[in-house]
Amino acid sequence: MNKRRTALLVSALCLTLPASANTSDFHFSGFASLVGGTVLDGDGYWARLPEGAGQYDGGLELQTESRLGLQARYKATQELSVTGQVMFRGINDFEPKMEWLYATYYATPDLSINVGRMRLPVYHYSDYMDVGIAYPWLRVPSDAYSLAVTNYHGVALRYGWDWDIGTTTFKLYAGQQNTDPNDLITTIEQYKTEQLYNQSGQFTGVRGIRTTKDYEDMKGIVIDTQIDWFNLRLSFLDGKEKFTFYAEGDYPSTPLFGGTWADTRFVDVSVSMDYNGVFAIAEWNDYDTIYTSWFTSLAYTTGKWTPYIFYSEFEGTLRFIAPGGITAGFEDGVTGSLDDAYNSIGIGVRYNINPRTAIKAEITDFNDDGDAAVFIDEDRDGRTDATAFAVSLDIAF
Amino acid sequence: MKTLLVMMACLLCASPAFAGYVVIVNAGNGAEVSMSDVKKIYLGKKGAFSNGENAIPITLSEGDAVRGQFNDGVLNKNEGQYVAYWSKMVFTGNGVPPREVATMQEVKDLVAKNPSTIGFIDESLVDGSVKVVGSF
Repeated sequence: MNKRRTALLVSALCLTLPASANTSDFHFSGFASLVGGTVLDGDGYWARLPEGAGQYDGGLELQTESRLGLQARYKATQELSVTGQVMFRGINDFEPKMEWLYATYYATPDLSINVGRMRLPVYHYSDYMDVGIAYPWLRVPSDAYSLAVTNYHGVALRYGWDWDIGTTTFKLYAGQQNTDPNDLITTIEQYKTEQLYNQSGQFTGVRGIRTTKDYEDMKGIVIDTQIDWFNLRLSFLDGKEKFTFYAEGDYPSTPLFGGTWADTRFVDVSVSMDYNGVFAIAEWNDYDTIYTSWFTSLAYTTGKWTPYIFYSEFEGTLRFIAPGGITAGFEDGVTGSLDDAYNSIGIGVRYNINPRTAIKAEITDFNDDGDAAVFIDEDRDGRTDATAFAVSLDIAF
Repeated sequence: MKTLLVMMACLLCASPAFAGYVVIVNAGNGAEVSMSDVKKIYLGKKGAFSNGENAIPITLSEGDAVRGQFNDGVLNKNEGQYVAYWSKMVFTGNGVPPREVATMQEVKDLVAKNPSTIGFIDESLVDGSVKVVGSF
């Protein structure tokens, strides 16, 4: 039903395109990334974001990270507009999904309020991590972007303050979101504890578990300050969440565990500079009692080329013990739980074919230091190191 | 109309001494506008002039040499960085890029008519209907 509605909306969007591509009250734009990757070493590489995309286990895989976004903005009056964005993601077999739909009201030129379905602005790149043309990397370094909720329904107040030497944007937001299934957590759990092997010990797939996550009472603030070439962004989110795990075949009647509300606290800080072609950034975040992650990167633009390097790291805090224990045999001897710890080093280059089209290539070296498997684990030792290579074509229109 | 265009083109080519470009607002716009304000307005960081009035930036089409010079010199961004920047702003719902028109004459006409607008043109096009706030 929902799907049909989205399809209708997309057709409507496309139909209006040639007639009124960009009149003063209707603005249409879009972006696309075609991403192909392969594994150079290891059993497989999983980029994980967003929605669990980027699974590479052999051959040249072109689907899971590829995506197309179409956005329409209708300006009803000088103060009021409505924005809709439809995403076609390879990870969802390119079925259209309403990514955002919100109304914006400008109380003053620098004070606006958004109401509807929007991106949860926790990270520096949250809002535009799908828009490959807007950043140097092939993908935003994903070890540091693991929050399992990307959009929310609610309100956001945005105020831009010009204090002469610099500008600061304040964003206050509140809302909620249910994710059922939660694709990212479900896939993480599947590779962590639910890998299946045949009699000769070869990986054959994962068990069909299901996890859900509800987020409520989310309240957040973002303070984003720009002083010429320097940027400091602070983000804080507070709320509550409920995680539920269902064994294969038990959904929705019999959860195996979870189902209780817990506090959510998420802090993110990023510092970046963009000066004379040199771009440097460090971003760190802490998901209270769950994990800490961060990344840093350096990119240098000379003419049409932007070579870059990054380092990213994830370290889980929570060691959750599933009832019935863990079957795979690589659990921690003391607590019986698995720890998640991994990092990546990426080296890549972006080449601008024209201002709206770029190609990128990246080698990512993924090091799994924890005893939980992150992706396919053929030898069942919990270590899933991998080296992957990917190329992309990114456009904006 | 065509003659006018040709005349304008001749004027532009024949006057290298006037190859300066200026940032203009409506003649009736009493706000103080510094080049730092111009940068903020064109990057969507500031939605109003210092007097609180709406600020609507006008630019030239993609690929235009004067636009390139403005983006480089005033905004400190090459065309690629400019597109990347505005992609980010548009797809996050944080702003709408400056409206694009084809010629500097159109920029001047718009700014002369609408007190909220701000634009950049060749110095030789300046007349009493607009006010120069800076040059590049």
